[in-house]
Amino acid sequence: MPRVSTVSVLEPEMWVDAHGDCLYRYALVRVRTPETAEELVQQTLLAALKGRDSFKGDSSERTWLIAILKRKVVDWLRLNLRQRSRQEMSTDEASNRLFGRIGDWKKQPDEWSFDNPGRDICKTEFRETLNGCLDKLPHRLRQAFVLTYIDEETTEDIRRSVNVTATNLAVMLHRARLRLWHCMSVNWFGEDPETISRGRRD
Amino acid sequence: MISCRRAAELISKELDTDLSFQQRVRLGFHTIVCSGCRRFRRQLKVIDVAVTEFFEISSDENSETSLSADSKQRLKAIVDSHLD
Repeated sequence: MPRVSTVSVLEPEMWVDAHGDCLYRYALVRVRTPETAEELVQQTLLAALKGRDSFKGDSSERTWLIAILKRKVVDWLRLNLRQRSRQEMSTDEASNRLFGRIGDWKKQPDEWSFDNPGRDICKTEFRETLNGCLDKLPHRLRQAFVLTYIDEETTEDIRRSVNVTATNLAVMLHRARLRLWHCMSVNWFGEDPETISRGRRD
Repeated sequence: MISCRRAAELISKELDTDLSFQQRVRLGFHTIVCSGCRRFRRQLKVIDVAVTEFFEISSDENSETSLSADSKQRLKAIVDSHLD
């Protein structure tokens, strides 16, 4: 039987052993570089120590730490995107690979052999594939993309916080999505012998 | 009639914000006649949901990624120094 406690208490001396790896992994998939991930974990631990009194015990210790870390990750992404916001928007190779001169698909999108990524058996594999495709995005695109998905602000507030024009943010998100879509089409949703026999859904 | 390249931009944009009336009409018209972009639109929504879920899950328990022993020692020392 799992232990059920209604009020959680903090045990700071256990934080690194109990939650260190979890916090680190959380940060790493969002910021990509190990050094930054570790730095953010450290900042989180320090902020948590300072803010111990504000812990009400209505969530688990881990949930509380993750919430602090999430804030740190969002702040880091914003700062990083803001500092590098002067970069010009050159033409996009990914887009040019997919579309012809008059803007038609060079190769029409294939029907995926299945549309449901969440089949239980493959959850871990799916996350790995998705993570691999995210890692293929250029740094800046990845940062803008991740920030949009984890920041709870509206897209309009996000673009103000990182000081880019609405057009630039839309362009970056679109470029990131095109690449991600293409990568996932090839590496996950493509021909899969096991699922084809079950027939295609439309 | 907008191009597929432009339609794809709008398909991405509608995931983040409301399209204008004119953009909705153009995209709607395009996707009626273009099966490739219909497919792309459906698939991009699947990607959108998958990415949202990916970042909602706090951290992958099955992952073998972890802090090095040295890093853990260092972080523990930092925490301990604040506990006295």
